[in-house]
Amino acid sequence: MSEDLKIIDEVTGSDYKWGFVSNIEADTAPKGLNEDTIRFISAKKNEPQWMLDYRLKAFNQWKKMEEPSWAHVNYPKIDFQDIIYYSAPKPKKTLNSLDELDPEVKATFDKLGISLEEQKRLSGVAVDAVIDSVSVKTTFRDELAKLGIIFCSFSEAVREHPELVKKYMGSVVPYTDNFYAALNSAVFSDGSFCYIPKGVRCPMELSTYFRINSAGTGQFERTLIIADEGAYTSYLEGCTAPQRDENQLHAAVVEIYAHKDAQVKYSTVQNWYPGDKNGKGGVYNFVTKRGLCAGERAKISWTQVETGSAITWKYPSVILKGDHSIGEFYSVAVTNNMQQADTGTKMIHIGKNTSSTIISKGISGGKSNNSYRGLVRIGKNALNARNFSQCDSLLLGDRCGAHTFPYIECSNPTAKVEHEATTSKVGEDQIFYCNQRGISTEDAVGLIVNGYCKEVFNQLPMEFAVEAQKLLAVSLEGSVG
Amino acid sequence: MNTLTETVSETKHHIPFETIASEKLTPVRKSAIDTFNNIGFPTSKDEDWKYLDLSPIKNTPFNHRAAACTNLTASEIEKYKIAGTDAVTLVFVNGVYCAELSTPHKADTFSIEFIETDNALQWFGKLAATEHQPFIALNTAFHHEGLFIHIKKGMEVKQTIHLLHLNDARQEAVAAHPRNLVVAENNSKVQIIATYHSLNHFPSLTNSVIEFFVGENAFVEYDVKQDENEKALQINQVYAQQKRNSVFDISTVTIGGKLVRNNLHIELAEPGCTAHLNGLTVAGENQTVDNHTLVDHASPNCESFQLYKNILDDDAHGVFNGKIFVRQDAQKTNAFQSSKNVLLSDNAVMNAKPQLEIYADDVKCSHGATTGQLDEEALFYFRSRGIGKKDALALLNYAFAGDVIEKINNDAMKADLLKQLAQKLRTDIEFEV
Repeated sequence: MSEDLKIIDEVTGSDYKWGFVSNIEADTAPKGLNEDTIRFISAKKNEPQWMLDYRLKAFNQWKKMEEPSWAHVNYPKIDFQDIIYYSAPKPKKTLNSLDELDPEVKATFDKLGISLEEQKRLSGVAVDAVIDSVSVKTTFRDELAKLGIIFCSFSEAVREHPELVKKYMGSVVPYTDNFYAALNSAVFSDGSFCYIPKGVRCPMELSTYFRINSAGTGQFERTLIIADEGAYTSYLEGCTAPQRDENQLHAAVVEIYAHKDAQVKYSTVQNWYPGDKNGKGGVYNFVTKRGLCAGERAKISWTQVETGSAITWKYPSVILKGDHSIGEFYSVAVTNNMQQADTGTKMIHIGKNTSSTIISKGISGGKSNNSYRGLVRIGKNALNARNFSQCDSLLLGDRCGAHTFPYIECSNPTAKVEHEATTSKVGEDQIFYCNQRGISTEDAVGLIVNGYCKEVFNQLPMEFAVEAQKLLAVSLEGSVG
Repeated sequence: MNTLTETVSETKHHIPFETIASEKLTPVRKSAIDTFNNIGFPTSKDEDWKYLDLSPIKNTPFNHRAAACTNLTASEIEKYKIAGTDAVTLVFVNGVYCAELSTPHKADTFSIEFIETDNALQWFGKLAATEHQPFIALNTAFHHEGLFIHIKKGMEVKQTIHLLHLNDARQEAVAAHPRNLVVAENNSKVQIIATYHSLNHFPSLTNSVIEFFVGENAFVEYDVKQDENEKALQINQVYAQQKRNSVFDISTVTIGGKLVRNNLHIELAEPGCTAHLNGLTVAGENQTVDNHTLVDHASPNCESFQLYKNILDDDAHGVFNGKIFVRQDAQKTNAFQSSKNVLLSDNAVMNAKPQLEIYADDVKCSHGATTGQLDEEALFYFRSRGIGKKDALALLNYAFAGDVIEKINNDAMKADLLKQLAQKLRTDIEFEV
């Protein structure tokens, strides 16, 4: 293992070093999942009866469902009764200044180019008065509220905007959808809720970072974004800094509902603990993400950079129901060591003149397996539908695997569907060219891989893109040779 | 009469194979029946059978031991022979070899004997394993008098070997289980063609299995024409294993049949092998054609090329599910796959699933899939020169499909297919293309 991987490992393992306040017994649900657990969670969150009913319905559905096994991943069977489904957010121990931070952790932060303020936030340094994060957040919130934008935690939305939650929750991902969506619907801990009213263009990138209570949303996150007619928003999830999480199983649900002429751009950078180089530990990330272009000319765009998690199982999808609606999916998935990723998208064309674009870049190193699995379905009435898919895989070692499983289902003769995929390794001539100009092999690979992912990075919001590039280089270190 | 599943369960208690075949295979047949009883028919939940509705096969009471040769005469067979060849024609009626209708074959370059002989049994079933494969299990249980074609070392077979399969379902519903085996020894060369036809008043099922062992430096070409009629169902399984520097080319052209499923499994077992897989489907009405391929790159420095095209009209349903599997040590692999599909009507459906599963890094692999309509501009070009829309479309389709047929090396087969293609596309092409 190279020096840098060690650093990452230490960073990712850092929770133990800094520790949590351990007195949490009273706020933790007993192990296991039954109706009582769900009632407990609901009661803890002071939820109204209808929310509890929804959870119980989802739970009953979940009991009837079987764990899916079609994905190209291997993991020991999960014992769903051996999981704690609710524990209250744990306050982190605060440091007095960045100087107290482990220098190696700081080095990684610097490598990623994370700003000083953010470094402080991530490492739990008490933020001084000048840059009081709470006041920053409040300022943002006021500004958003002036425009009528609702941006709050999911529990808050359940209490304060029940009519919106009732109307839209489950409208894109019903609790009957799949095993993990049902589980999430039954036990979801918290998440974000976002509503952009008619004709409003959200003036800033919405990010979980700015949301009060963003810490400790737990393992079953639920996000609901509603863009009303003509609204626009760009939403950021996650961050590039490595995160260690004591929850092994993550089953999140993200729903996006785009009305007529609305546009939603959803960007994710995921860098959860991928386990050590022998595949021990690591997060299981089983996510259901789906957007619905309900009205005409709606547009939903997913951009994701996936570098973490031991197992990723994620298919951000778009249902193109409105005529002329557009779906986009840009993805970079990196796996190293023993990581396994089975990720891709679904584009369901229902309306007329709909179009979708899929650009997926998979990079595998070490002994990892990286699969693209995507569905493009052209419905019978999807006149003049258009799809273009490109899935490239790059192999950085002779013990890793790269796989492509596209499903193309076309039922309309006017549709034009194109899919292409390639698998190859980094060209030796390219590396030689770089070497010849004094660039080390490791840097050369970083350079080439970054170029290879450029199409996707270009879709990320500026500050994210810069961090993502660096993250990629860090993730791949040690995989060359 | 009973459905297939019931027949199989009954057979379990009373195996009458002694009467129809040598006893050597009886244990193999018995265990195949056990396997089938355990796994049963695949459902749409099976990833490999996802897009195929097998209920016509499941629910029809077929006779599995229909009379061989029936009362067909040589003149009735004549029209199925590929014109212009001095081919060695081997006729199978209801899956059973029929010597009276076949060409006498005596040659120094190859030998033909029944599959139950000791010579054949050392190869039999080595590739087409019954596990997880219900239709192979059925074939293994019920096949009768299939042939073992042995191409001798260093020999080139000049004549085309034609396996002519005819199902006679004029009296009752018939299930045929043709089973053949081809061993091409080192440095040999052979062209084999297979054609499938049927005579139906009742439904018929062809559940065929053929295994190819391609020796070092051997060249084997296998061209298939599926031209059964609208009551015929077919499951066609082709297995091939290639030794060092061998070439195996297979083309599958599907024109007729209500439901056709092709399973191709090519194993590039030693370095330096090349495989070409070509497929063409021209389907209309309510035909369903499902092409599955698996190219297993088990060794370094091998190449494979796949080209599959579908032209689908009316309510036709086309499926392509191709997989390139590159094992960990199969470095320097070149594997390419292309699936191109044209939908001509509102109700035609195409499902494509081109897959790459790759465990080696020094490879060049790609696949492409397109589904759409014919080029508007090309159509316009024709029409601007006074060629009507119907004719122009037919010509474009002919050219689109001709691409695949051009890859066939067997001239007689190629000519026959081009002719039939022109008829099917209702175009009258009088010039050589």
